[in-house]
Amino acid sequence: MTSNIHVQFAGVSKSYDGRTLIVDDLNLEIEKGEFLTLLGPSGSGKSTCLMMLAGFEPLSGGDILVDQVSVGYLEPQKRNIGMVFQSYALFPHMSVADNIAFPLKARGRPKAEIREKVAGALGMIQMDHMKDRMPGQLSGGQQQRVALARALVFEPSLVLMDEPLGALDKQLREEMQYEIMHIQKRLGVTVVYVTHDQTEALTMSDRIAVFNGGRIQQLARPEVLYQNPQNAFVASFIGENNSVPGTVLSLKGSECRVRVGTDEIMAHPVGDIAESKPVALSLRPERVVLGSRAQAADNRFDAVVTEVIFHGDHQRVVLDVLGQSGFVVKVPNSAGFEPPEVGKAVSVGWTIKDCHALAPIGGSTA
Amino acid sequence: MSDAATPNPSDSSSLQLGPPKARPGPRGGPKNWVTMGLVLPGLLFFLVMFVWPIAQMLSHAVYSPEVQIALPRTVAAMADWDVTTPPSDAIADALILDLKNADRGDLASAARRLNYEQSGFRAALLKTAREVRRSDGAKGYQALLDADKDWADLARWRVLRSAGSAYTSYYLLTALDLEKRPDGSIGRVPGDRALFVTVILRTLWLSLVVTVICLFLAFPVSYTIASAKPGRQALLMLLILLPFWISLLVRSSAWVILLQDNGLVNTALLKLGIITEPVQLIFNRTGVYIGLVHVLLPFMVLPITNAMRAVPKDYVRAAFSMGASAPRALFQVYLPQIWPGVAAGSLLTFVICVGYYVTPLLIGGNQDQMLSYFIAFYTNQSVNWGLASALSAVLCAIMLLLMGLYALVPRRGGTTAGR
Repeated sequence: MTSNIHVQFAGVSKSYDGRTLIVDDLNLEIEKGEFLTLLGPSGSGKSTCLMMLAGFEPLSGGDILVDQVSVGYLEPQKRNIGMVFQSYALFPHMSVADNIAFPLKARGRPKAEIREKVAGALGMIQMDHMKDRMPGQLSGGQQQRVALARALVFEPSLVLMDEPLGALDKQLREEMQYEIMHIQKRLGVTVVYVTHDQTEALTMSDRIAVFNGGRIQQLARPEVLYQNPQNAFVASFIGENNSVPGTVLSLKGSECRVRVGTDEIMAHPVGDIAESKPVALSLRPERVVLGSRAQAADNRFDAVVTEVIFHGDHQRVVLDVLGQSGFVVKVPNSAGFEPPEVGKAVSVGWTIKDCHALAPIGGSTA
Repeated sequence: MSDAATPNPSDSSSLQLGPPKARPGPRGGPKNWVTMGLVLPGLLFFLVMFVWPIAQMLSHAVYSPEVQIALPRTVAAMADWDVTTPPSDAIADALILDLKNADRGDLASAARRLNYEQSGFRAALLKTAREVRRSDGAKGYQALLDADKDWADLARWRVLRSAGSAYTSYYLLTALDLEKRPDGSIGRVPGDRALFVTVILRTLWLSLVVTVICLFLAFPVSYTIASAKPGRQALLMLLILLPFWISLLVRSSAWVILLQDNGLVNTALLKLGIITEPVQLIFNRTGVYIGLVHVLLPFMVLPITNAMRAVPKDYVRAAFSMGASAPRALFQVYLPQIWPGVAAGSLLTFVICVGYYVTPLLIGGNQDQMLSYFIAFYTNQSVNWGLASALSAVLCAIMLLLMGLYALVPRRGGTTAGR
C-alpha cells in the first residue's frame, strides 16, 4: 500500500500577518477515493487549507503532495483539481453547456470530445434540457448541479468542495448530499469537502477532520468521532453534549475518578488526562437514563426536572443536577415509559464508558 | 452545559427558513399621482431650463428668417422668378420698397446673413439702401444698377432668393464643408475653404486617443482600488475624486506651469541630462493629450472600479481551477464581467472629451482646437449663431449616434449565481 495516499499535507502552516498562524503545522493524509471532510467553526482554518490545496492561497510553510508530487508551490491552473465553490461561481455570461465546456476548452480538447463529455455531464446531473439556459435562470439546486458537473467534467481525480450546499434550503441540501455521495462513489474520485455543518459531515464523509484554532482536533470516521471524541472541543462540536467541569482525583487504566463539586463521578479518561488536573466530562444526552432505569448505572445522582419538551420520537428532559442547570437528557418515546414531571425529583444515571473525561477546551494539555 | 453556540442536530430544524415572503404587488391608484407630483418639479425644470434652450439654440441651424423679415415684398415677388433671366422691374420695385421701409436692425441682420453666402453682399445691400432712400423716385431694375452695378450679376439675385426662405440648409452644409451649387446640387467646398470636416475628424480622433489612453491607465488603477481593503478603498476613491474639488481652470493652467519650456518637467529632464534642449510639451497635441487625460481619467476609473468591485473573486479562481491560462481567465471570464463598466466609462470619457473646450483652449495650439472651440468662436466672436448652431447640431448628432451604438452593445451577464 505504498501509493494509496492521494493527498498529503506535510507540516503545512499559514499566516497572513507573519504572527498569527491560521493553520499550524498541519499533517494530514488523504486516501485515494476517500470522502474527507474538513469540519470546524468559521475561522478554524479549514477553508484556508482547502484554498492552499487548490492553489489560491500561498503556503507559509511545509508542502502539499498530490500523488507523491509536490504541488504546494504550483499555479492553481496546473494542479488539475476540480473545485466547487460556495457561490458556485458559474460564469453568468455563459450558458450551462458553455460553463461545463469551459475546463475542456481550457485544455484544448477537440470539439467532438467536448460535445460528448458535456452531454455526458449534463446527463449525470439530469439537466440535458437546460443546457442553453443562463445560470441566472436556474434555481439554487440546479446551479449547484451545474457547478458539480463543471468540476467533474474534465475527470480530475481530486475534487474540492467549499461549503457547496451552504446556500440551499434544508430539504434540497439533504437531497444534494446523497446525490454528491452517489456521484463520488460511482466515479471513485477523492473529495475534500469543507463544511461547518456537522450533520452534513457525519452523513457524507468517510473520515472527518475536525478543525479548531488552525489545528486538527481529531481525524476519524464519523461514528468514532461521535462516540469517542478526543477532546472537549470535538465533543461539543459534534452532536449535542452535556459538558460538566471537574477535577481528576485518581486515574487508573480505563477509569478515573472525577470530583464535581461535592460529588464524585466515575468516567472513561480520553487523551491527556492527569491527576489533579481539570477535565471536562462529556455525556451524550441519549446515553443518560432516568428513573428506575438509572438504578443499575455506574454513576447515579439525584436531579430535579426543570423542563420537559415533546419532540415526537423523543422527549427532551432538562435537569438540575450536580449543582448545574441545563443538563439535557433525551428520552426515547418507547412503550410504557412515563416522562417525569416538571419540578419532581428523579434519579439520573450513566455508565462509565459513556462518560468521557476530556481535556477541557482552551485548557493546557499538560 | 449544553453548548448553545455550537450547532446540534435537534436545533437544525430552525435552519429551514422558507423563501422570503413576496413583497406586496406594484402600487397603483392615488400613489401614482403622488409619485407624479414629486417628479413634476424636476421634470419642469428639465424642460424649461434644459430642453427648451437647447431646442431653441439648435433651431438656429436651419431656421433663418432674417431676409424674410427685412425684405418681405422682395421674397414674395421673387417666388416665381425663373432664375436665368434678369429680374423684372416688379421684383426690383419690391426690393426698393423693402429697402426704404426696412428697420435698420433687421436690414443689418439680413445683410450679414446674405454676406455669409456671397462676400460683398453686405456692403452692396447697405449701399443700395442708402442710395434708394436718398432718391425718392427711384424705380425699376435700372435704379438698382445705378446704385450698384453688380445687381446685374444673377448669382447675387439667386443668393437673395434662396436666403429668402425662412428655412435654410446653408449652415448645416457649411458645417460639413458642403455647399449648394448654382444648379441646385450639393458638393464639397474648395479645399481652401474647407475647415469643419477636418475639425470634426480631429475632435473625434483626439477624443478616441484620450479615451484609449484613459482606458489603459484606468485599468490598473481600478483594479488596485477594487481589490484594496475597504478602508484603503475609501482613501483611494477620495484621491480619485480630489481633482473635482479644484477648479478646472486651475488644473488646466497648472499644466502650463509644469510643461512650459522652462517649466518643472523640462527643467528636471534637462538637469538629469535626458534631453539637451527643452521639449515642446505644451501648446501642441502632446499638451492637449496630457491635459485631457488628466481631467477625464476619473470618469473612466469610477465606472470600471464599480464593475470590478461587483465581480466576486471566485470567478477567476474558478477559471484557474478549471485549468484556464491567465489570458483565458482574463478575456473569457473577467473582462466579460466588467464589460458594462468598461463600455460606460469609455462612452462617458469619449462624450465628455468630444465636447471639451477649456483645456485645449488653454494648453493646445491652433491646430489642436476642437469643435467646441469653433462653436464658442461663432457664438461669441463672429456672432454667426446659425453656424454655431449647425456645428452644435453636428456634435449632437455624433453623440446620439454613439449613444445608439452603446445601446446596441449586448448586455451580457445578468444576475450572478451566489452572494
